[in-house]
Amino acid sequence: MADNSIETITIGCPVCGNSHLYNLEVERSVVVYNRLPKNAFKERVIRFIRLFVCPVKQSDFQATFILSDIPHSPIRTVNVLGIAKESL
Amino acid sequence: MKEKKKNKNENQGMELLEVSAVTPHNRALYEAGKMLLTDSITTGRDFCKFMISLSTGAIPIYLGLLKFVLPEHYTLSLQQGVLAIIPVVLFLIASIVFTIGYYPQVSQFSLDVIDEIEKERTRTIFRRKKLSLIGFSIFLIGTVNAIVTIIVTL
Repeated sequence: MADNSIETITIGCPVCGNSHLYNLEVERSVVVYNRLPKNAFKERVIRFIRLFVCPVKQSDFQATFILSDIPHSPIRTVNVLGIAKESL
Repeated sequence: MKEKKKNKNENQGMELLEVSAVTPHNRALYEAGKMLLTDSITTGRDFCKFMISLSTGAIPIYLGLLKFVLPEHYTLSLQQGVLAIIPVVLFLIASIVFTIGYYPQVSQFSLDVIDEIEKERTRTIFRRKKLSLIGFSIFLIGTVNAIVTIIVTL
């Protein structure tokens, strides 16, 4: 089972100097708690490096960010969807 | 004075650590990833093309070796003949399977819909992978059979 959520992040672009708002798709697994012992899942912080494209200069840059797992819903991956509509 | 905009997130649990130009290592990985994405569809096709030649070429090689190890004017019995011909049949079947894998596909998708392109690409890759595995397994069985037949004939 998977649970996907769209989250946004504002990044100060190193290419053009402005801030851009990006949409990220966070894929999480749904863990059925009753099948795991209570101490099997600990809250964890995961580090991601993703490439983003500056909409002004059309050049890419990288950003490193960390995400905390929601209990019983460990993060599988994060995909960059693109510029959020609000920042256009 | 222009207010400096800070990097921020709008969701709990997400924290931006660093923003920078793409490092050379990541750039190289990105280029490698692009190559994997674009070349993966042709890799399967090229493999099928190569294996068609290899499978059909194995037939005269095997028959030549068999003729070489058999005494001159030796006639095989029916049973011996059937056993000797099995590798040839397997090589032929393998080449047919690879030909099916290489055969052009017909599909429809719109370039505007990325999901359709990805779905079609995945379908093509998995189809060729399945046929390549089947064909290669048959080819391997034929090869082993051919080696055993020649050794037994010796």
